Amino acid sequence: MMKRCLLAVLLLVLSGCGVGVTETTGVSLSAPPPDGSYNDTDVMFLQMAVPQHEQGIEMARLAADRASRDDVRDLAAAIAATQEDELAEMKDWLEKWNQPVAYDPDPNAHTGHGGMHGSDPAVLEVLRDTPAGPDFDTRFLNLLTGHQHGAVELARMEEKDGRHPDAKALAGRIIKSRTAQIQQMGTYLAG
Amino acid sequence: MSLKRKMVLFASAATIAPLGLVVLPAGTASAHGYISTPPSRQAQCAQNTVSCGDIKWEPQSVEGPKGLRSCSGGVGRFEELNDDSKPWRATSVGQTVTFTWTFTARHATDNFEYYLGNTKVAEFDGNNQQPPPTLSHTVNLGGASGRQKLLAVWNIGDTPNAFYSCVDLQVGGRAPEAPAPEPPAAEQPASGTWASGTSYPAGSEVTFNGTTYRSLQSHTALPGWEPASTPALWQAE
Repeated sequence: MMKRCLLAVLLLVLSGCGVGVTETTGVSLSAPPPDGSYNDTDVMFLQMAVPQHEQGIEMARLAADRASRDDVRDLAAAIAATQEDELAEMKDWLEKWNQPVAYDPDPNAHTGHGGMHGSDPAVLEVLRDTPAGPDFDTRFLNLLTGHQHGAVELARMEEKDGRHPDAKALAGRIIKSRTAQIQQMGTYLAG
Repeated sequence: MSLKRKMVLFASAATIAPLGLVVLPAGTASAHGYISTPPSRQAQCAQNTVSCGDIKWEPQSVEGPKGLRSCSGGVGRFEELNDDSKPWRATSVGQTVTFTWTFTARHATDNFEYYLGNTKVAEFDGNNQQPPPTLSHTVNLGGASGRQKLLAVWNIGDTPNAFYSCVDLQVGGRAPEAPAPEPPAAEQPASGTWASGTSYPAGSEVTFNGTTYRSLQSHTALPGWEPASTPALWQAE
């Protein structure tokens, strides 16, 4: 329940659900780290990056299987593989810190708001429903581009305000690799 | 409101009342998006077709009050989007053009408007609903010809704001083909040294910081995918 509450608050904050109204929500957090080795930003970054990664992996796996172009399939397979490693590392940190891992987001928590930054069930539905062919490749490239912009946004926040050196280093690699992926997907979209 | 600003709000609220009731202040919509094809000015920044400042990190964030006719949405740090002297690539098109949006978050939409100068050439009603994840509009340019700067405006349904995207077009006739964007510069590996931009088939061997690695799956190397930090792609020998 605590996880659900925390997640609901994150979703509210991120999706701007509170537009024009004031939301009152119960929230509880685990105790702050005793040794100052990490801070709230580190925790929030990881909790938000976990579902972000999970959706990205699902999108990439679909494309590794269904894309028509070899270069798109190779890129998608490499994205899925690298993000799976990152995901395991992030979950490991959260467990070590005794912090809840944000998972299984309640889809109703953000209905009508287009999802939070990067976890949007409708995006996966579109991809699942698109048969193999040029349309699939174009849609995948466009949707994953939007998704990876969300990852960059999250990682830039962590790089600036996080404290944990390894989490910040991961954020740095996410910024670099996603930015490069966006560029590469842009060239695939153009040709 | 930026993501960071929201996070700060959240963090400070949590600090003040870790176990109690938290009142979240009202925020603005986090809808974000831009036109990706034909590549808008901010898309060209994100794809490094044109060298840009901050906008290259967040082409989806050109958000300003409704009613502007500006490529930057009035955002000071994105001012370079208004600079017609930058080497924006104009995409060669006919009288009918299909524009595709990339979204990072989809919010209720008032409408989408397309302008050439002060003339509105198209409008698409959003019915105050979320747009679908992939959205394209086919627009007739109304007889325009030559090089044109089209402004697309995404008016959000439940905030006073809109998102702005300028697309450079070369319309019709004898216009030269816009050259295809260059792929990311492929650095030549110096005798087996890992280099981003290089295509590595599964089984390739490289050296990186003095260690030899073998590629586990075919991929093109990217910045941020250095062998030492991507055990999914590279195995140390």
